[in-house]
Amino acid sequence: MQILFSILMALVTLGVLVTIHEYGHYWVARRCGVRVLRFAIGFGRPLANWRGKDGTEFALCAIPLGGYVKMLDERDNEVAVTDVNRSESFSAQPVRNKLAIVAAGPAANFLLAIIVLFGLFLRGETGLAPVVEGVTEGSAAQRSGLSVGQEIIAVDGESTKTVSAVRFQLLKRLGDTGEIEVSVGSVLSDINQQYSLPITNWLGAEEAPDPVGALGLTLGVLPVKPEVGSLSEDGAASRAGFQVGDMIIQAGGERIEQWAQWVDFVRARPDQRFDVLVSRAGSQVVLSVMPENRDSIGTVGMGVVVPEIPESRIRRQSRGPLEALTAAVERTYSLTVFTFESMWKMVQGLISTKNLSGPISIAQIAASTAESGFTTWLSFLALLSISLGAINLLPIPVLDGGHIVFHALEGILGRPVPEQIQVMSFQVGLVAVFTLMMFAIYNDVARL
Amino acid sequence: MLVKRIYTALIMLAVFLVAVTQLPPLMMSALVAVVFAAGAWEWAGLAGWDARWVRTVFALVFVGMCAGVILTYHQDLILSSTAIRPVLGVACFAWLANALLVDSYPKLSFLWRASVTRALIGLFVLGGGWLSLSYMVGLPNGWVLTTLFIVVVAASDVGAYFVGSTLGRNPLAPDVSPKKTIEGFWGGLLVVLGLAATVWWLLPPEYAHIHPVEIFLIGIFCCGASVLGDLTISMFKRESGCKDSGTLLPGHGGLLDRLDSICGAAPFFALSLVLVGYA
Repeated sequence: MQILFSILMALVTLGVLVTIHEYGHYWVARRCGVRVLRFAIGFGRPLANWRGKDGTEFALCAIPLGGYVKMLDERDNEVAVTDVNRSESFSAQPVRNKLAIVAAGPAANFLLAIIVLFGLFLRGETGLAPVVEGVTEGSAAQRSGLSVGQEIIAVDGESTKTVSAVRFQLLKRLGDTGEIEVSVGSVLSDINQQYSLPITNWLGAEEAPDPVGALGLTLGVLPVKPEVGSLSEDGAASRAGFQVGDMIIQAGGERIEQWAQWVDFVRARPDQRFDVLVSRAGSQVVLSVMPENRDSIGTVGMGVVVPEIPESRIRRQSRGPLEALTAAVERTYSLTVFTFESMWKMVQGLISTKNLSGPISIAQIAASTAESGFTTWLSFLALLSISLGAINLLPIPVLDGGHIVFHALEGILGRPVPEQIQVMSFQVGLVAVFTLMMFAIYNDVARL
Repeated sequence: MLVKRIYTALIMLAVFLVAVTQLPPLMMSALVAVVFAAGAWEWAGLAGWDARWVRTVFALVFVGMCAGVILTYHQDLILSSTAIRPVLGVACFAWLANALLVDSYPKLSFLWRASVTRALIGLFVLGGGWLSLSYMVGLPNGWVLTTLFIVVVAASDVGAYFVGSTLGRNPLAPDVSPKKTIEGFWGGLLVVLGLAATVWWLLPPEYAHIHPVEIFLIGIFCCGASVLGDLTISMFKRESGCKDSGTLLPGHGGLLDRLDSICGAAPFFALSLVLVGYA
C-alpha cells in the first residue's frame, strides 16, 4: 500500500512542478503573441484533452516523462506557417522574446519556490537548537576542541539557528578539501569561539552522506531514557509483566542507559529469552522476556516515552512580510547555487555520482514528507522546484539551457545556428540526458 | 494456421514448464540465454544485417554478454539479485522512453534508423528481458513467479488476438501495426485482470502484505508493457521492411514475435516485485 501512496505523491509533486514549468513557457509565449498549439503534461497520446479560448489544446498524455509546450514554428510542419500567421510563430520572434519564452520555464520553477518559501517563512519556522549533545572519540570535532553543551551559531560564517541549517551549511562542503569554520556560543560566556575542522575530499565517496555525524557531532537530539511508555496488549513485553513507567536498567546482564541501546538489544534477539532488571516505583523487579520473531528481528511490543523538548532548545523564527520575502529569495538563490556547485563537484569527481537521485527517490521522499505534514511536503516541493529549474538551465541541447545557448548565439551571430548543427547537438543532448536519467534510476533502485 | 499456432504454443509451454520446474535457476538462465540468442539472430535481420555470418556474430555477442554476466554475478546457483535489481529500473525507464518512439513513429525514427543503433537497441531489449527473467527465476518460488509471468503475457496476447479478430475495429497504432486494434488491447487487459483476480484469490497468506490494488496494477502494467514490446518489434519490422522476423516457429512467424511481449513486460514485472516488497 505504501508504494501506491508513493506513486500518487510522486505524480502530484512532479505534476505540479511540470505544470508550473510549462505554464511559465506558455504564459510568456502568449504575452509575446506567439500561438501555442499544445500545452501537454506527459508525452505521447493524450488521455484527456480540451481546447482553450485562444485555440491552445491542453492535453494530459500517457507517457509520464515530463511535459511540453508546442508553439507555431516554421521549422515544424504540423500546422503550416503562412503569411497570415507568420507573426504568431515562435521562429518569427525577435531573439529577446525567444530567450524570454525559453527562460520562463525555469523562472516559473524558481518563482514557485520563492512563493512557497515566502509562505513558510511568514508562517514561522521552528527547529531544534544546534546544541552539541555528543562528540565522538577521535573525531575531527573532538580534535578541534568542540565539546558537549556548546551551541553552534554559525558555520563558515553563515548564521545557523537550527540543526537543519547546520546540516545545510555542511552539505555545501561535500567533496571539499580545506577547513570548516564552526563558531560556537557558550552558555557560560557571550564570547564566540571559532573552531577549525580540517577536511580532505570530504565524504566524497559517500552515497548517503551524514555530514553532522561524519564530523563526530551529535546535535540537538536529546538522550531518550529507557522508560516504558506504552505496551501493545498481546505483545511479549505485556506477557512478561512489564508495566508502563518501568525504567529498564539491565538486560541480559548488559547495562542499558538509553532507549536506543534497548531497541538494539531486543532486535538482535528474536526467540531468545533473557532477564531484564527494571526499576518500578522505587524498587527493582526482574522480568523474563522472549522477543517475538518478525522477519528475523526481535520485537516485544513496547513504545517509548518521547521526551518533551524544553522550550530553551526550540528556535522559533518569525519574520515580517518583507523580511520573509527577502529570506525566500535568498534561500532560493543559495539552493540554486548549491545545486550547480554540487553538480560541478560531481563532474569533477569530488563527490560520488551516487548522490544523483531520480523519480523513485522523489516518490519515496514525496510520500514520507507528505506523511509528516503539509508544510514538510511544501518545503520539499520548493527544493525540488529549484533543482528542476536549475537542471533545466544546464547548457545541454534538448534542455531549456541548451535552447538559451542557441538563441543567444543567434543574437550574437545575427542569424540562427544552422539547422544541421542544431539537430546533431540535439541528438547528443538527448543521449546525455537519457544517460543521466538511467544513472539516477540505477541509484534509485540500488538504494531500495 | 490457428491449429498449428496452438500446437506450437502448447509444445513451447510444455518445454518451458519442464525446464522451469526441473532446472536450477542458473541453468534456466543459461537456457533462456540460448533461446534469446536465436532471437538475437533474427534481430540482426531487423537491424538490416542480412549476411548469415553477421547475424551469427551478433547472436554470439549476445550469448557472450549473458555468459559474462553469469560468470561475474553468480552466487549459490542464482544471479545476484542486488546486482540485477538496479538494472531492472534502468530497463523500465528505457522502455518508457521507447514508448515515445513507438507512439510517434515514424516522426522520431531518424534517431535510431542507423543499423548499429538498431542492433544496440536489440541487445538492450533482449538483454533486459533475459536479465529480468533470470531475476524472477532466482527468487524464492521463482518457478511459480516465472510461470505466472509467462501466463500473464500469453493471456494478454491470446485475449487480444481473439477479441481483436472478432470485435476489432479501431487500429491501436496504425503507423506501426495495421492489425492491432484498440478493442484487442481491451480484450487482453480484461483477461489479465481476470488473472490478477485469481492470483489475489490464491495468494498465500505470507504475502498478505501485497495489496490487491497492487496486484491489479502489476497486471495492467504488464499488459501495457507486453503490447509495447509487441509494437516495438512491429516498428522495427516496418522500418526494415520485413513481415515476419523469422520462420523458426510454425504458425507464429518468428521467434521474436513470441519474445517481444516477454521482453517488454519482464522488466516491469520484475521491478514491481521489488517495489511491492516481494523480493
